[in-house]
Amino acid sequence: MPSELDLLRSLDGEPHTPSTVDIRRAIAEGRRRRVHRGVGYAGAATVTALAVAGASVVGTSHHTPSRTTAGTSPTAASAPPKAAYTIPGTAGWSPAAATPPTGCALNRLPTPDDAPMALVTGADPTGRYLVGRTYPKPGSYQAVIWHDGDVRKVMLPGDLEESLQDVNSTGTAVGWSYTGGGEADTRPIPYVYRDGKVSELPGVRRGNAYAINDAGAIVGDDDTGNAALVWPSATAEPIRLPLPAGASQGTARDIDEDGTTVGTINNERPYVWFPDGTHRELPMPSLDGKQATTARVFHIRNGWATGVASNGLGRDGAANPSPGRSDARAERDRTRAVRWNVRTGEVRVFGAFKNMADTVNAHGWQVGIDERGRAVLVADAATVVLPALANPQPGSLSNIATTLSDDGRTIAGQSDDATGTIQAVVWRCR
Amino acid sequence: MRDTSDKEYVDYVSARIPALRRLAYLLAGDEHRADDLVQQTITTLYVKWRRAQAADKLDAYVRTMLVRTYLDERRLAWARVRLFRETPEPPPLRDDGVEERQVVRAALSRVPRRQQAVLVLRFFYDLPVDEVAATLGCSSGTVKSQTSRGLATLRRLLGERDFAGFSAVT
Repeated sequence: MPSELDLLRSLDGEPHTPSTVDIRRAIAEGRRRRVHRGVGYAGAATVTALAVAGASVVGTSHHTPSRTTAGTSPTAASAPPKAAYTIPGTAGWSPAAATPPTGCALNRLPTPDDAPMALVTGADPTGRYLVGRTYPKPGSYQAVIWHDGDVRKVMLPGDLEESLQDVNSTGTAVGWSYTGGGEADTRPIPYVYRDGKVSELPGVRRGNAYAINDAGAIVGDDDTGNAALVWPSATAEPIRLPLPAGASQGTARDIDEDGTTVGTINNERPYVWFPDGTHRELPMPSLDGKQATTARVFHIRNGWATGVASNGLGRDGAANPSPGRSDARAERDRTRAVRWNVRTGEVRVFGAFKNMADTVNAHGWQVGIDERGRAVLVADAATVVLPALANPQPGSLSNIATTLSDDGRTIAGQSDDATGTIQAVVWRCR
Repeated sequence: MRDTSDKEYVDYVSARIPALRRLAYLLAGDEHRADDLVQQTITTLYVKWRRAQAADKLDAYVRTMLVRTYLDERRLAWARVRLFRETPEPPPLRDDGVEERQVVRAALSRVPRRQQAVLVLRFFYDLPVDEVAATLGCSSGTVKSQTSRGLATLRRLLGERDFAGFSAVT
C-alpha cells in the first residue's frame, strides 16, 4: 500500500494543455520594467510621507448610476415561508452624502518592528481602523491593526499563515489563521479580535471569517462542510445559510450594514441572503453580447455588490474554451468587473477595471486596477488615478487599493516601492 | 551586446519552459495558473538576466524565483480572487490511477501554501533540506517542521476522504 510519499510522487507533473507561455511577451514586458526601473524615483527606503502631486481626474464617460433609497425593501424571487433566522444589522441605516474627491496623496503606513514588507487587507467604513499583515521575515506573517496612525500587532494563534480580513468602526476585527494543536491538526480557524483580545469564533472545526458589520454580525464559511455562515455575534453559534436546490458548496464573503450578506454558490454563482431570511441568485451580466457563465461576489456596501464574471472560467478557474477558440488566454482575460444593485437587481460591467474592483463603498464608488496597472477610484462620473510609490508596471499588481471609506477620502492598500517590495499605504483624498 | 544577451536568454528559457511548467503545475494545480506563474517568472528573469547569468546554479536560481512568485500570493491575479483554496471536488472515478492523483492534488491544495512548496520540492523533486531552505528563504529547521506538518495535514485530509488503499506512515 502506498505511503504519502509515494502518493506525492504519483502526482502527475505533466501539464495536459499546450503551453501559452510567450517568451516574446516576457521580453517586451521585461524591457518595459527595465525602463521603469531606470527612471524610478530614488530614496524609497526613507520615504514615510510621500505626497505625490498631480493625481489627476481623467475620463468623464461613466454615467451616474441610478441611486436607490436606503431601506428599500429587497425583492425576493418567491414568496418565502417565515424566516428561520434574521441576520443582525442596523435597520434603516443610510450613508452621509458625499461628493467624489478630485485627487489623492500617498502615505506609507508604519509597521511594528520595522518589518520590511506589509499590506492592508481591510478597513472600517470610516477608514479610521485598518487591518493588514506584515512580513517580518520572508514567509512569516504578522497580523496588524492600524488606528489613527498607530499600529499594533494582533497575535493570532499559529505560525503558518494568517490574515485579518475586516474591521468595523468600533475596532472589532475578524480573520483567520492556520493553527493546529497537533501536527495532524493543521487547519484554518476563524478569529475575532476585540478590546485587545483574540478569540476563536464558535461552531466550526475549520473555517474562515471574512467580514463584520457595525452591528457585530460576522460572515464566513465552514471549510469542512463548505457552508456559508453568519455569526450573529462574536460569541453566538453560526447560522448556516441555506443554499438553493442542487448546490453543494457556499461561501459568504461580505455583510452589509443592514445584514444583507453576499457570497458565491459552487464557486460560480453569485448569491445574496437578505436579513429577513429570503435569498436568491444575483443575475448574470451580459459580456460582449453573451450572458456570463460564471460570476462571484466579494463585497457589498449599502446594497452595492461587486465581483467578477466571465464567459470562459469554469468553476475551478480553468479556462473552458468554446469550440473554435484555441486562445485560452483570451478566454481567461474575459474576467470582468461587475457591480450589482442587490435591491433592484440592476447589474453593470465596469470596463474601467482590468479584471475586478477591489472594493465598493456606500455610494457605489469602487477602487481597482486599470489596464495600465494603476490603482484607480471610480466615483460616479469621475475616475481618480491614485499615485504610486514607484512607477506602476503595466499588467502587474504593483499597486492595489483594497479599501475605500464611505466618504471617499481614505483609501488603503499596497504599493510596491522602487525595489519591488510591497508596502502598506494609505491614500488621503480631497 | 543586447542581441547576444537576448539570444542567450531565449535559448535558455526555451529549453527550460517544459521543466518550469511542470513545477508550476505541481504548485498551482492547473495549467492556466501554471502558465501565468511561468510567464511572470520568465519576465522577471529577463529583467534580471545579467545578474542571473552570473548565478552559481542558474536552474536553482530560476526555480527559486518561480517558487517565491507562487508564495507571494498577492501578485497573481488568480490568487487575488482566492480561487486557489476553492478547489472543486475531484472529477468522477476513472480506472487508471487518475482519480488517485486527483485526490492527492485536491488534498495538497488544502495544505498551507508554504507547506505545499516544501512537500513538492522535497518529495517530488527530491531536493535536500538545505536547498529547499535556500529556495524558500528560511532555515533548515523550518523546512523540517513544515515537512512534518505538511505530511500530517495531507494524511488527515486523505483520511477524511476515506481514501481506498491508503495507509498512513507512522
